[in-house]
Parts: sequence; C-alpha cells; structure tokens
Amino acid sequence: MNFFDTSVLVSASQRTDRRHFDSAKVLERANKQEAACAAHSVAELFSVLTGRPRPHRVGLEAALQLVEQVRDTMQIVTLTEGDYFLTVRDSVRAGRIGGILYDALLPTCARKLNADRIYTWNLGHFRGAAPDLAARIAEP
Amino acid sequence: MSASLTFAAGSELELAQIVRESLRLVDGDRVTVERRDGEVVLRRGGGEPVADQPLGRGLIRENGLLVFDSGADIGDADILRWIDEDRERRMKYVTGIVDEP
Repeated sequence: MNFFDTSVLVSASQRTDRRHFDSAKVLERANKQEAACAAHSVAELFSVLTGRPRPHRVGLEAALQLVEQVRDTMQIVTLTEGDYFLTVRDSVRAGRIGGILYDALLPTCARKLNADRIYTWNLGHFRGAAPDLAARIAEP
Repeated sequence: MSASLTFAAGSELELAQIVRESLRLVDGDRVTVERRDGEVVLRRGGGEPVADQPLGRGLIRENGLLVFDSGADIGDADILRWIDEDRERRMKYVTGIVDEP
C-alpha cells in the first residue's frame, strides 16, 4: 500500500509545478487497492488549490473534480478520537511542540494502513514527525 | 458593512480596501452591479470570475490523470511553501488574528 502526503497530491494537480511529473507518475498507477491518503489531505488539497492568487488559483468546479479524482483512485483514511490522542501523546513523549503535531497526524494514518511506502516532498518534516517510519518515507 | 466608494477618472469605480477584502476580490475579478429597489448592490461574480479563468489550458487529462494547467510557471516558489502558507493562514484564522480563513 502506498500512502500519499498532501504535497504529492497538490504537485500532481498543478502541471506547472517543477515536481509535477514525478508526482503524477506515481499517482497515474494509483487505485483503491494500493493507494491511500489522509482525509485531512483532501481538505488541504482543496484549500491550497482554490486559495492561491491568480494565475495559479483553481476554479471551484475544477478543484472539485480534482478532489473527486483523489476519492475515486485511493482510500481515504480517517482518524478516530483515540488516534488523535495517541498522536498527541506520542508527540509529548518525543518532545515535539506546536504545529508539527499536524505533520504527525498523516503518518498516523499511514501507520493505520501499515503502508509500505509513504510518498512526500517534505522528507524532513515527515521523518521528524515519524522516525519509526523513516525507512518507508520517500520522494516520488 | 457599508463603505463609501469613489468614481475615478474614466468612470472607473474605486473600491475601498475594506470592500475588496470583504468580497475577497483580487485583481481581474468580475463584480456585478445591480439596481434594486432604489439601491445599488455590488456583489462578487457575474459569470465566471476572471481570476478563475486560467491563462493556460485549465483542467486537462494527461496520461489518465486530471491536472490543472495554469499556463504560468510556479518556479522556485513551490507548492511546499503554498501548503505552509495555507496552514499558517488557517492558524491565524482559528486564533482570531485574521477574520478571513
């Protein structure tokens, strides 16, 4: 199972991003049996695509289609109340403060799936938030 | 909200910053002016906003994948910064530092 971070979803959606082709290549093969992302990433994808200034802002209908494409090609992983508290507790034990907690929520989703590979363009943040998964975290 | 507007030269209407922010207008957006019951109403939109019309090909399918072609290079200002800015904006909104998410 491959798990995709928000950064890969956004990059794959924006053709003029310098990382687009590498991101698109790993997503072209995505299907619900082998690919997943966090529900939180679906919201972030929509927010980033529609929140940029012109000319990179994606129209609402187009953004909806891009979000639906994610829904149709991969599993969307949600967290339970227990998952959130576990992530907070782990962050406390690791001495991590502030917004890095949000980075830790996505590896929590990947852990639930026992993902073989976690694709992100933010290696530093991900490995910092989930050192136990470091060997599985890679760029597309 | 109410604000006074000024007619500039060439019959252009100058919108105060507070109006632009309230309607979340950016350069090139379209607005509609309606006369309604003796009042003039200004609202965002009026057809697809110009800002939502891409310079490039817009939404296209490439190798089976839907992608957005804005027609403009993102360059070094990459999507990691976009995501960070989006998260920071949300944090400012939930903590009450800014009024708009």
